[in-house]
Amino acid sequence: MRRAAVVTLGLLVGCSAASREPVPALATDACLDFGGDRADVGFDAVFVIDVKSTCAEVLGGGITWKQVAGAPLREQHVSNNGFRLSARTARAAALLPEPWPWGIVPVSPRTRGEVGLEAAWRDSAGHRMRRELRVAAVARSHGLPNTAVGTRALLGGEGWRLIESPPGASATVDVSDRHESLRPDVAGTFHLVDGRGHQLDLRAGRFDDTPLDCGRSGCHAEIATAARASPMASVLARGLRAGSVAHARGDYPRCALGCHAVGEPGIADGGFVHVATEMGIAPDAQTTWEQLPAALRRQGGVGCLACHGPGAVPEAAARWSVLRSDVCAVCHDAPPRYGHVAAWRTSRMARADAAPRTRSQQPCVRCHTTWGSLASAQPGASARRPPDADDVGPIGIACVACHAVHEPGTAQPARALLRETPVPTVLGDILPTARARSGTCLACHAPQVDGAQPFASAAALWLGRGGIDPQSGAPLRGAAPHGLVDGGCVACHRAGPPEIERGAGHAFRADRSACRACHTRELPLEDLRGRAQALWRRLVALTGLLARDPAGAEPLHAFVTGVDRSRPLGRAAWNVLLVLEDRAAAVHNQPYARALLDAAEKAVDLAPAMREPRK
Amino acid sequence: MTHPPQRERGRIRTRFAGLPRAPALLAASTLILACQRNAPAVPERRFEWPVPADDGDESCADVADLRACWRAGNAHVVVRPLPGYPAASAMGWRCIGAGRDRRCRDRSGEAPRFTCDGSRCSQRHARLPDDGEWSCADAAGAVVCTGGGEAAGVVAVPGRQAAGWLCGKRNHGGETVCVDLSPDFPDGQPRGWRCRTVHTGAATRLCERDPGAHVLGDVCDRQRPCVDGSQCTAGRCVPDLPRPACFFDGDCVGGACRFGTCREDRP
Repeated sequence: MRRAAVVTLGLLVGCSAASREPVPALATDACLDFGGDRADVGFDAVFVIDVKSTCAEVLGGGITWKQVAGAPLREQHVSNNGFRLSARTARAAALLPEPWPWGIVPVSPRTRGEVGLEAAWRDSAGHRMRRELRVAAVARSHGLPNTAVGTRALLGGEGWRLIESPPGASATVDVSDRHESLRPDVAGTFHLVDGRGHQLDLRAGRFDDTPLDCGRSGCHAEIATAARASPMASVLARGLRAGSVAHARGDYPRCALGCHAVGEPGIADGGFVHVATEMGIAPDAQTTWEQLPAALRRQGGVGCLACHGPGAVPEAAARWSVLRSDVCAVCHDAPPRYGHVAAWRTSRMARADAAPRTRSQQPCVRCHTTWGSLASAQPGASARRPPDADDVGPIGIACVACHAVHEPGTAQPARALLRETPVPTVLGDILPTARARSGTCLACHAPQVDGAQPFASAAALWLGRGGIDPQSGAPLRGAAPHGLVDGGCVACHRAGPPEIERGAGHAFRADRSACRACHTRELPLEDLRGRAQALWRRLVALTGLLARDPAGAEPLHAFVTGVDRSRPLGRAAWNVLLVLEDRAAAVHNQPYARALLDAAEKAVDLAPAMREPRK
Repeated sequence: MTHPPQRERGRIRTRFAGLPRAPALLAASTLILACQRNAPAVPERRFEWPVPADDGDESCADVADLRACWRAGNAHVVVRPLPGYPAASAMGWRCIGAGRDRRCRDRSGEAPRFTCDGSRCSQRHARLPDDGEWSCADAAGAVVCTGGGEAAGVVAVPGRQAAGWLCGKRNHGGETVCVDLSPDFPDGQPRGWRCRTVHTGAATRLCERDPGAHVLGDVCDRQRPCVDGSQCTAGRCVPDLPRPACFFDGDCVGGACRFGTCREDRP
C-alpha cells in the first residue's frame, strides 16, 4: 500500500524516498512501445492501452498488469496476452466535489483521477521488463483563466458556449460526464459565455511561446530578481547536480518532471517534457543543468509560468484567482506524500472567509482574506480583491498569505519562503527563531495598538503583552514562559492528518506532545474562560457595551463595537477581551491571562455603581 | 520531417582530414565497428571535442564554413579545423573558442534540428546567445541578436553566456548585441539558404532554399562583389572585424550597421 502511494505521486510531485528496485537492462527494452502517459482521457471514459512491439522476440512473452496507485479502475479488461488493456476512469463527481466553482475549475493531483499502472513483460526464457504508466482523467489546472494549448479546462457553471475563438481554432465546448469543458487548440483568447450571460475570457498559449521578459525594468524587475533566488526556480537545476539528494535517488528527474519543471507531462503544451520530446531528447535523461539545451532550461524549475500560466496574463478582473490555494495545489495537493493543501483545507484558515461579510467589510478583510492580508502590507495587492459575487466562494487565508515566492527586495529567500511580516508593536521583541518561523502568524493573532478592540490575542497572550492596567493605563506586561519555545507558534501548532507524509503541519493543530519536552506531567488548567465570560457580563452591565453572550460559537470581536480605553472599565474590558479572544489562553500563558482578569476584576469591583443589566 | 544528413562541403581544409567524411548512418556503423579489432579508433560520445586552431595572436572566428582572422582590421582566411568525423546531425559542427582552447560541439546537442517541408525548413527554439530574452535577425548568413535581459525565473548558467557568439554593448539603450557568424543551417551549408528569425512565439529560425542568396563565405571576385559590410579575401566574403555594438542603422553615428558592427568602426 505504501509503495503504491509512492509510485503514484512519483509521477507528479515526488520521488520515492529510496532508490527504486533495479530494472534489468535487457536488449528488448526498446522493443515495447507503451505510448507514454495518458494525461487527459476524460472522466468516466474508457481508455485503451495497446502495447506495440517493434521486435519479434517480445511477442513470445506476455504482459501482466497491476494497478499500483489511485482508486481502483472500473471495467478493467486485459486481452491479447496482456498487450491490450482497457478500463474506465473515475466519474467527475467522485473526484471533484460539486458544485464546481464558476469559471475554470482547479484540478490538483488529488482530484484528477490519476492511476498508476505497472506492466510486467516476461517470456518463457525468464527475460522480463517492467514499465510504469500513468493515466489521468484530466490535466491539472491552477484555475486561472489562462491555460496551455492542449489542456482541457473544466468549466464551472452551466450552459457554456463559445462566442468567439482565435483564428484557426476548432475547439468547441465539450460535454462529458455531465460537465462542460474546453480544450483550446490554438493560442489566443477564447470568449465564452455561460447560461446566465456571464462572460469568461480564456487565454491560451504554449509555455515555450511565452516570453520570460517579466523582469524588464519598469515591469517586475524586483520580483524577477527575487524569483531567481527562489529555491522553486532552481529546484531542477539543484536536483540534476551530481551529489544532490535527488540525483542520488536514481530516478530523478523522471519522477519529478510534473512538478520540478513547467508543463503537464503527456500534454502538447510547450512545457518541459513536450519540448524535450519535440527536440528528440529524452526528458528524463540524467544530464546536468548546464548541458540541457537553453530551450529546456527555460522550462526547467518552477518558474513564473508554473504558477502564472502560459500565454497572456489574465484580464485584470480575473487576476484575483492567482491567490487561491489551487495554484499551489497543482503540486502540493498530492496526499499522502505531499499533503500541504489537503492539511490546510482541514484548518480554520481555509474557512477564514466563509462568512460573506468577512470577505467585504473592513476591518475583517485584513485577517479573513488573503488579498486583505497582502494589501495591509502592499497596497497594490488590493487589485487582487475578488469580485463580490455569489459564484466566487471563500478562498480562505491561502498559501500566499504566509509564503512569498518572490518577495521584492529579498536577495536571500526566507526559510520555506515565509513572508516577512512586521511584528505588531504591541508584542515587542521576540526570539529571532520564533520570528523566523512564526512571524507571519503574528500580524493577525495579536491586537493592534490603535484598534478599537482586540480582534485576536493568541500571540499577545503567548508573549505576555497587550494588556493595560485599568487604573493607570500603563501597559500590563507579564512573563512569557513559552516565548522561549524555539519556532514560536509552529513549534506547537504543527500537527495534522496522520496519513500525510509531508505538509501535515499545515493543519496547524496543536500538538500536545510538544508540551512534554518541558512538562513531564499535565498541568491543571484554570477555567479562565469561564471567569472571563462572567466578567464580560458584568462589564456589559456596567458600561453598556453591546450585550452578547460571550459563550457563543462566533468570536466576540465580530460583534463588539468600540471599547473606550480612556476609562478604567474600558481598559478592563480590553483585558477581558484579550482572554476571550484566545480560546487557548490558559495554555498559551496561564499566569498572564490570570493577571489580566485579576486587573479587570479589580476595576469592576471598584466601579461606583452597578447599572441595571439590559433586558 | 527531419532533414536528412548531408555531407559537409566547401571546407577549405581541415587539420583532421585523414578520416573519411560520411553520413551519420555511416558514423553509427563506425561506432559499432570500433569495438572490433583493427577498427579505427573513434572517440566516445561526449559534449565537445578539442580542435585547436592555429590562430596565433590574432582575433579569429568561424565565419560560415570558413575561419577568418583579422589583422589591423584586414581579414584573411585560415584553416578551419574540424573533428575528423562527421557530426551526428546534418547541421554539422559548431566550434567555439580560439587557438588551443578551440573546441567543437555537435550542433544538434544544444540546438534543435530543423524540420523541413519541401524547400522550407524551420528550427523551433533557435539558438540564442544565452538563456536570456533576445530579438534576432538574419543578415546575409549571420545572425544578429539584441537584448540579453535575464529570463525571469530561470537559473542562468554561469560561463555559458554567448558561447560562440561575439557580443558587445549596444550603442543605445543598454542592451547587448551578439553576432553569430556561423549559425545553424538545415544541412550545415550556409549557402543556398535565405533565413530569418521570428519571435511570434518561441524563437524560430526559418530557412528557405534560395540558390541566389548572398551570404558570408560566398565566393567573390571583381564580378561577384560581397555583401555590404564584408570584404573579399582570398576569394571569399568575410565580414569586417566584428565589434558588436549595433542592431539598427540608427545605432551608428555613420548610420550603417552591418553584422552588428558600425561601419565607421572599421579601422
